[in-house]
Amino acid sequence: MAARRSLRAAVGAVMAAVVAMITGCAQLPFTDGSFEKKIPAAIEQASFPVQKAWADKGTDGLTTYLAVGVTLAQDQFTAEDLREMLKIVAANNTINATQFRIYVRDPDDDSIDLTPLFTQLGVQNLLGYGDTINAEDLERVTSSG
Amino acid sequence: MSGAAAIASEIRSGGWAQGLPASGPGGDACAQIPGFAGLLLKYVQPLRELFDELLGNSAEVAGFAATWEDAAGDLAQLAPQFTSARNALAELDGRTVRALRERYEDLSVIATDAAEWTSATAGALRLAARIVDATRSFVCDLLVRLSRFADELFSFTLNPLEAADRIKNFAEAAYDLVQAGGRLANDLLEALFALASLIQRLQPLIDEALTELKEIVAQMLPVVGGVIGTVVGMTVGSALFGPPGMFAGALGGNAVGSILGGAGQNFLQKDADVEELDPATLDEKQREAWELSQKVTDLNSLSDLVRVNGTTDTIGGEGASVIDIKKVRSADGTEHWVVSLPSTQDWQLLGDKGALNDRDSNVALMMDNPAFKAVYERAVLEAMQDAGISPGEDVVLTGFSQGGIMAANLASDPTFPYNTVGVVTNGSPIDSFTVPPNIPVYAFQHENDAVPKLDLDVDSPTPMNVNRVILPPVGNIIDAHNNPNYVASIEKWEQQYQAVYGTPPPGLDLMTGEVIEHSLFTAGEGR
Repeated sequence: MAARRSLRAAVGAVMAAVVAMITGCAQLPFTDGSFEKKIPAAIEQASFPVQKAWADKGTDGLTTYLAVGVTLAQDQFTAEDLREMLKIVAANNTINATQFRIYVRDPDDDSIDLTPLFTQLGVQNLLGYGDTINAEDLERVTSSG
Repeated sequence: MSGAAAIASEIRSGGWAQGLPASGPGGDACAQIPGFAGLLLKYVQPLRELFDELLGNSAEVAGFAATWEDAAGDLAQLAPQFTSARNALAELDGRTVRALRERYEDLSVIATDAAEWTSATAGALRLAARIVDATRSFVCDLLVRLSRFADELFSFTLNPLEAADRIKNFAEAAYDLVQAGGRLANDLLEALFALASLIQRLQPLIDEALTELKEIVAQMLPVVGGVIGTVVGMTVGSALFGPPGMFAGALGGNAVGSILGGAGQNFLQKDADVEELDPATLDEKQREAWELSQKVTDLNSLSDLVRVNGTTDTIGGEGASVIDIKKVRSADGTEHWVVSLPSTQDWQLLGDKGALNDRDSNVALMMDNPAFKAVYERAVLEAMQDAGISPGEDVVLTGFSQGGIMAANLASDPTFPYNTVGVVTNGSPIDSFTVPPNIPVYAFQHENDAVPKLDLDVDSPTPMNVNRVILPPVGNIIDAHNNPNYVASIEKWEQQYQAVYGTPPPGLDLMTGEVIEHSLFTAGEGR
């Protein structure tokens, strides 16, 4: 029994090597990284006043996500402001991301809970800590309103 | 000249034994040590004591010398072998071969250096043994001379006054000889102390050489694995598909061999420096995840535990490993620790980015070798110790993908110093691990996630303590292996469980509760 388990672990290790190789290749950094400049620049031109904006990418398991953050120059941030921000993200995204992580901070650098705003916009699958939406929801929100 | 070679040269020079005899006065004086009777014995006693003290040492020292000589002989044979291996690559070119050649040169230098000081030490120990013998022989010789002197003094008189004078003469002569013998023995002891101190100075240099050796071998493993993989791949590819298969086999074999070699490298790498995370070092994306992790005040469900794995991964990223450790108080007032372990973040496509939880450590952990611990595993153990978890305390281990493999690996390790009270994994192939039957395990797997199936065990029955929960498929095969998607699926599963059974899943109370302490630790390669 123990020998069978060891054999399976060894074969599993080889399989893991093969999958690691294949999935590793899927993560090759041959992507267009221009979103890192395009998205912040476009957000700074948005109708809501902004102090600072940034964009970055990352991997989660086998998927790639795009993370975008903004620090506002005013206290107010509405669902329509969020929709505008998401439209900018969608228009300037240059990577094949399956999820989008969105962060908004007030002028005092305190983070704003976006859950109620995403709900107002009709997001169906709010993920993570209420900061993440998938590509389908992004498409749905940005194609309406 | 290296530090070790410099000390070797000092040892070899014999300066430490200056002034000491390396050979005795000739003849086997110790075989004929005379007896002294009556009054004379007390004057000779110090020399007898010196002789007894010196008696056992030379054989022991000679024994050590022989061991060192054997080691020196073995090491001396290694250097030419490394040179020959290096020369065998002389005709080849390319980045990998150049790297391999350099590693062989490094090995050759270390072997030559080690042979040098090992042989110097062996020579010094031989000399020490000879000096001990010589000194002992001198002491014996002194005893014999005293005996002869006593014979001459007391042969032909019966006059008590004359006898008293002769005893006085003998006592004076014995005193001088005892003084001379004492000085010789004292010099000998000082010399041996000097040699011991020289050899002791070698110790840290030997440790350093060993660390360097491990690092060099660790660096060589992926390359050697790649070469072996290429040969095996070419052979298998050619046998199965003819000449076209040979090329594809070589490519595939090289890649798999490199990864397996990289896994071996994980076992030999030196410990990573583990330290408490400083949030000031984080970029914007990591800082957002760090803030989210700070807002977790309660862990009330399995999905809460799995959600933390997401922030653990994001805070670390590909540049460093992050381990999230929380002290939690359960509803019944008992306390335990929840350790969240990171998944694969560094795919090592253009070299190592720094995270220990990289592509190769996946394979290293799957090998589940109890004799070795991967550098990632050692970092987790150090982080747990630094967090203040005392041996024997209750811990819950959670992780997504490779983090889950690590959780199962630790829980099944009989040397793990903590009391594991629960394991929660998502998207992890953990069926090849034998987690003790008293530890409840939740192993969540999306039906269409290929990664948990890598252990080649899809639907065989699990032990009683392992709850393999197959969740409905999510999106495509890529989307299925994603932590936020797992969190959403597990939340739904828990709601359904509650609706059907009227209670939360069993064992949940052991794993959840209010967070009363929280710390994050980080470690990386090349720090």
